[in-house]
Amino acid sequence: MLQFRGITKSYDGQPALSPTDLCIASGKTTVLIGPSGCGKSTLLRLIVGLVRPDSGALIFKGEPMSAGNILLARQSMGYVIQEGGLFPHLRVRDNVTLMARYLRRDPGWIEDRLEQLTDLVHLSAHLMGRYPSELSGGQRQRVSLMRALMLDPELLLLDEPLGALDPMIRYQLQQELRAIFARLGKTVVMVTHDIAEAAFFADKLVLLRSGRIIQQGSIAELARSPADPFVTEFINAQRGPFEALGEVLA
Amino acid sequence: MKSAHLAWSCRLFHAAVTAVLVLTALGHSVASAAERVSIGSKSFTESVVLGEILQQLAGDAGAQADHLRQMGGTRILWEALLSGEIDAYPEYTGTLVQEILKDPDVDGDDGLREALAVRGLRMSPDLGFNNSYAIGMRRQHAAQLGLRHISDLREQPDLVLGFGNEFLDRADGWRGLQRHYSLPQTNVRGMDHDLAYRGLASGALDVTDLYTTDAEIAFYDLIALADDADYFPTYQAVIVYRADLQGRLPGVVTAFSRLAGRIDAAAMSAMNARVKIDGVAESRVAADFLAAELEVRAQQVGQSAWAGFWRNTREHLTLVGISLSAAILFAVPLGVAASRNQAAGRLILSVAGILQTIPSLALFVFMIPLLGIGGPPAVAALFLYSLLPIIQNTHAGIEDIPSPIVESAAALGLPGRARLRLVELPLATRSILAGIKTSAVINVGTATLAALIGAGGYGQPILTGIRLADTGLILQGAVPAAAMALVVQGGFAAIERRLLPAAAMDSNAV
Repeated sequence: MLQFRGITKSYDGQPALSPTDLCIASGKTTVLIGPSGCGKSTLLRLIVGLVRPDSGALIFKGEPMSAGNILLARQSMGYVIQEGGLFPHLRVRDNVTLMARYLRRDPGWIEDRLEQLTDLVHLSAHLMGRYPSELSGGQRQRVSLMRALMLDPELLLLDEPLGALDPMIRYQLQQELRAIFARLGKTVVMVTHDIAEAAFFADKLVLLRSGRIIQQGSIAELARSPADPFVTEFINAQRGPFEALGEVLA
Repeated sequence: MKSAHLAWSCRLFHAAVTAVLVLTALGHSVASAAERVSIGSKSFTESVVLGEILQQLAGDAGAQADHLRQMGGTRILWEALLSGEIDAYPEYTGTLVQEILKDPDVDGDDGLREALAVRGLRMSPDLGFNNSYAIGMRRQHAAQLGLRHISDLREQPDLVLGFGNEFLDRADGWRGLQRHYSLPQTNVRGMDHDLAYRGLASGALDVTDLYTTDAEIAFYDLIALADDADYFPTYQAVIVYRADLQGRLPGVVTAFSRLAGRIDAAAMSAMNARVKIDGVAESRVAADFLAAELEVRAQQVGQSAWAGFWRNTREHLTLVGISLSAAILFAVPLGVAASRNQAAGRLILSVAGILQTIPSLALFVFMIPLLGIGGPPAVAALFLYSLLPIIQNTHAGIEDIPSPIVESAAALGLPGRARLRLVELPLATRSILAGIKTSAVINVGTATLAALIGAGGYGQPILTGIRLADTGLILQGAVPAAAMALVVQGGFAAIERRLLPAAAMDSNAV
């Protein structure tokens, strides 16, 4: 589906991504993980074209991506960010259907699709007429997911989609999201810094540090045969507080 | 499901521009096709009285006559006559020779007529009085210092001199006088001619320029120092008019010629006094003169206070409406361009910023060589003045949109122009409207200066009020101008409320 070939990127002379090769498999959920500034978000933004690579090629559905085909390619991608990025001046319905209407899709089709997606993300229909500021954080992320899925894209990109939600809602949405991915069978690339969340979603984990891929594979592979002491360190660092809690309760 | 928001930016533009265009349309009056003659007058009372006389005479001769009152100084009237914006105005021979033609070879009235003919102009016979410049002081003060001649001023270097702005700058004014008499004074200020009289009366000034037929000379008990070295030429009052007037309206030219020799200095001085001291309207004074001297029962062209008010309102709205609409149409795209490209943005914002720093009066006058006098240069100046706040706020409104929103629009696959139309302009609407409101208020206020270059509006009563020292008249211009600023601002606030539901603009919550 998607291949990075020798991609590099630096911001103001600071390298953000060393030469990177990566294959994203169709129909699977790939999770990019690593500490802040490791380059995981840059990878995602390269895919959607918000960032241009300094060198190397990005192959999407067999075609190298360029300024010329990025607008079309984006119609095959859905993109969800942490804070939703909803348009504050548009009602929920109009946020979700904006691109479809811009492309002059059949109004009947748009209406049907809106209904399907409302069911899919478990939102009630009466919220469609509200403005984003009138929704809760969890509702906004559901709307953002609807907007990303509106044109039925092959590739779904999520950048810390649950990062700003409180733990209970986050837990509930994790369950629902995984069910949705399983049901739709789409290619998903997700960015998170939370190892538990990564393990929960990922068919494949890609662990990055300082703009370099350290290891990729399932969580079991990373835990059992770490390619680098950092892999173990990263997994254990996030397990720490929970175990500490266990000790206190004991 | 043609949803309203696809037309968001259209709504912004339509609402704002329509509002302004409607105002403009209200302000426009359709000119009639009848044979018209336009009389101009300078911004002092005598010129306005003579202008009224000419207007009433021309009306009596069957023409559709307008009087553009107190359009400004000599230069503005002369340019307006050459360009055909006015057909005639009262002038003085000394001014024509010394200040306008600046040609030492022009000799006598015949020479002057020839020089005018070359420029497509004609001159009436003398009206009968010489309104020369003179140098005046309070009688008592002059006696105290023992001053009787202009040359006596050489011995008094510490006197405070204040002259009408025109006299200060003219070739035949202060500069020539100072050279001719070798005068030592350095404390010399320029001000409005009428205000100079008040300065003299209050003792703030010691010496000023007089027009010898001015009513104030007697009123303030002033004396003119004798021109003992023959500096001032004679300033015979005449009418200058365009040569084509003879062909278009021969009756009007004949009527003008009836004034020859009919107004002597005492009569003119008395008419000036009736206006300035007794507060009689210029049109009344002119009508009384025509009835007594020429037995012309001119229809009273003087308009009622309400007619004057509506006319000023119409003119003011026209100036504001056209200049502000044009500013919106130009400034919003410029603001967008500034937000798209940093280098272009810096250039656009600094050019607009520089325009804003030019004093407004200077900007009006800069426009005269390019666009003549009256409405067009005033609209152009107001247009330039209105650009910066709108450009700045459009630029800031777009720059301030949080980047996740801009990136979300890009990630959907919307091309740049669609992002602008569907997302960025709607989100910048509040900021853009705030800029338009600021521009509108500046525009309404600055437009009061447009009267100085003959464009009328609420500045007209303000100018007349300054000339006649009539605070009531000044308020008749100042109060409606302030009210109009408030109404325009309120109008845009209403547009803002209609366009922007509160919840839609709460971008902080997203």
